[in-house]
Amino acid sequence: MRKLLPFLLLSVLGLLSCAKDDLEVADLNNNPFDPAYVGENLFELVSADVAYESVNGVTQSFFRVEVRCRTDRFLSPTPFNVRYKRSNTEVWGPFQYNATTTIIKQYGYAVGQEFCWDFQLGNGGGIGAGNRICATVE
Amino acid sequence: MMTRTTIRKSFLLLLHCACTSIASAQAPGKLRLMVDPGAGFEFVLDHRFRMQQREVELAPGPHHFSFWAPTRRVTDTTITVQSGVMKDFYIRLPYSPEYIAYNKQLSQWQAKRNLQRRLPILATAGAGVWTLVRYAKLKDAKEVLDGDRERYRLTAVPSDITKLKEVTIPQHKEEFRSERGKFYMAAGISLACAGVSYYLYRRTGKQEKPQFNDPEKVRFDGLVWLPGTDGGQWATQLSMTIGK
Repeated sequence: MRKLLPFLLLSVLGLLSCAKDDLEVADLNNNPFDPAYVGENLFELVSADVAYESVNGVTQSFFRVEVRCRTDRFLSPTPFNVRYKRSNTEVWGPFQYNATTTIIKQYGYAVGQEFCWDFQLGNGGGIGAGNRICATVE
Repeated sequence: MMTRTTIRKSFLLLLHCACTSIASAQAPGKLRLMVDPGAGFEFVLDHRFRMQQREVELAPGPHHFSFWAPTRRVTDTTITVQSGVMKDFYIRLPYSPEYIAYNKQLSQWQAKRNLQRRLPILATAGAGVWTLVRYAKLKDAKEVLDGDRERYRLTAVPSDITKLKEVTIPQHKEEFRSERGKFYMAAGISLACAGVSYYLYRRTGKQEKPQFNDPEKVRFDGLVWLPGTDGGQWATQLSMTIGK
């Protein structure tokens, strides 16, 4: 009996240690598809420069911005959608399916002018993480 | 092993037999004693000789026997020995009233002790089983929460994630808390039962067991010579029947 008691106490203590609830909803915020995502920016600027193109024999310049979606920050591989809009507007563009890289062509610009876009990740009709990308014409 | 006392007793018995046989001029008879209990019995022959053997050779005629065995009553009887005949004698020694009373007292003591020991141990075992069942339920609830964490990791639909965080996980956490409460209660009761069992086990360990002091042995010892540490003394008499 005397030998049994410490064993019993240790067993109960061991069982008690397993009874810890370590799942906090507030801590669940690292999934980019979570609207409450607070991790590192999912969209990042790859390049921003002035580019040229020829349309009907006419050469015109535009401000070319390349934005990348950091799919490596997804918690699991999955299809996704990306949409964006100019920060100073309310109208979002269409969703682009599995758009790892998005290229924005901004016509009408001035050197030194800054442009900002809001990017969002979406899937299944809902909106997940998003962040703003800004670039200045040089 | 023949002790000096036994040798002396045997010698005196033989002397007694020889004297009585010579006196009566008849061959001695033999008596084989079948006594229940089979071992440990003693007897006093003719109020003089305290013996333990199963066979005695005696002069013909009536002989008085006082039989005794531990826990049994001293039983007196007279057996008539016939010349040159081997006779079997059966006797069952009844238990002494004191032993019967002691046995009853011992049974009561054991029953009480068993109750005080086994009941808490049974309760502890039952509570332990209940604790294990509650622990299994708690583990299931925890696995559900772990599953929710995995679902959060794998889900890529924002509305599903919102539902998971706002409805499913809080509900599962509530279930987990409920199971944890039940488990704590079961574990607490188990510990309390174990403590009580331990306390009662120790307490009953200190209880004195009833002792049996055989008064029949005292009576039997008083019938004849009692050996002392230095051999003791015989207090006997020798009688010879002169022929007819």
